[in-house]
Amino acid sequence: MRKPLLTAALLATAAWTIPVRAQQIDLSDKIRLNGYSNFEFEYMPSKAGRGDGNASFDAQEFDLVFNIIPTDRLRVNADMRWEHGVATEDSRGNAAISHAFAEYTVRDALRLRAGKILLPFGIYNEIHTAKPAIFLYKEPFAVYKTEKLGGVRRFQPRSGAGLEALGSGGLGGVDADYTVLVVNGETTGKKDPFEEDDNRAKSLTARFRVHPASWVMLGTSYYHDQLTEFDATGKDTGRRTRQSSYVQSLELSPGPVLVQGEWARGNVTPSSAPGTDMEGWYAVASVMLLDRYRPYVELQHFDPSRKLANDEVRIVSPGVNLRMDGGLYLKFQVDKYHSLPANTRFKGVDYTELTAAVAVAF
Amino acid sequence: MRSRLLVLLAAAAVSLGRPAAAQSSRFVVVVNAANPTQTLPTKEVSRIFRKDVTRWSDGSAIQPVELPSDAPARAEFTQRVHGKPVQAMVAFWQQQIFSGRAVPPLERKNDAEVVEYVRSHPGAIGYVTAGTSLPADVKTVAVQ
Repeated sequence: MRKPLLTAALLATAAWTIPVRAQQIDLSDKIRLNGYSNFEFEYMPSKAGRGDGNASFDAQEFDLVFNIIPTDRLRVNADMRWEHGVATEDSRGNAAISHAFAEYTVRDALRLRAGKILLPFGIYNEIHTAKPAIFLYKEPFAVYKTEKLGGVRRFQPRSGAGLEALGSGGLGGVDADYTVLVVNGETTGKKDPFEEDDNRAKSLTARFRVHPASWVMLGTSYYHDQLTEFDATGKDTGRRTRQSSYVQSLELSPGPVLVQGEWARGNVTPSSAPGTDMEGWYAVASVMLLDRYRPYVELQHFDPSRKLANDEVRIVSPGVNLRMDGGLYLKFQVDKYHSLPANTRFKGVDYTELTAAVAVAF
Repeated sequence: MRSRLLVLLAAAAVSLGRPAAAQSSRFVVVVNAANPTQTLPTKEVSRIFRKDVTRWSDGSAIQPVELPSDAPARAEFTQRVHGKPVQAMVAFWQQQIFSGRAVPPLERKNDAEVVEYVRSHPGAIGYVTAGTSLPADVKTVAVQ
């Protein structure tokens, strides 16, 4: 009795599996998996300066990007990130959902999103973690990571939880795109801004770009938020610090040449103290040689407070990006820092840092 | 002398960046035979393959499909339609994917697979090497 049952079970299994193998389902237009990794090296040969004198390696990040496309109008996107060789057992590194949202396309000129979304501010904020998509060693700090250059705050947070409307189309024969994002904004207390706001004022980010030709992009972005001011006991005082920033962007890519420049201004004003006006800009010129080598030079300038004298930082960075195979990139860059004495981070100490990276996109 | 040099440089930059009309090419653009489209402007083809335009005029979804990045027909298509080399478009799509803005068109391994995809998807549009044999339910579209 046992043998016939086993045979029947085997036959049933075979009958079940054979047609499935013969009729493979192609899910490539419903599910996409991409990702990237980045490995870095930094070394400051001199003894003085804020660079890495220990010549450290950094298992900087590994990311997986999922796109699930249930219908031709609906897309769900998520980016999961592991940074600095994350090991929760030892409280090392960082794991994060970089962004995760659902997007519904009403028409090409109107797509709606809800979820955790990267702020559409300038050229680089939305791709700041995706190092293979940035030919520079890192995104320009003078606009995107100002706290590394002595700034009181960044011009904008990286991401927020909220709603976004975006779209693209022709405007008088010129390609254009826009996005408007409303999110909780930054919280200054203990609340998780991706779960709960600590005040009623929502932050607003907007960006508008035009492409007068396939090799020209002009853009402008704006960010505004109100930050809660707490008293010593952690109670909301009802007063707010106002923050506003904008950045103007230009990208020219005729043939193998790529020129980028952005200029940002920002203001952080507490309710009962003078505000801080920040200014940062960068310019990059590069050329693609033999479809593989991209030498470049980057110039950055950041002024943490326009009212304060002698606090500016300037960084000159020659470098080269090598596309080795498919999505494998090698980067070499030299950062020459020059600061003035009143800069709170560098205090006028000049130094040079050598950097290198292995970035892979898939 | 200096202004002449500037004008020359600007003209060179414009000519380097401008897409050429996609005719007399080593590729042809193909759609499903059920699609009423006969011709498409080069700029519109570029928008479709950049996914700035995602709907046909009847409201149905456009399903663009590409050849692999090392295919000669893709190199010519990308240069003529987008006015850029393939690697520039690869970089463009990396930025789109990793920022969460969009996913690139599907890729198929060769001309035959592109043709098969277009044949089996009424909303599809692709390009194949000129001279590729096309079945009755796939047709070419003139790109102007």
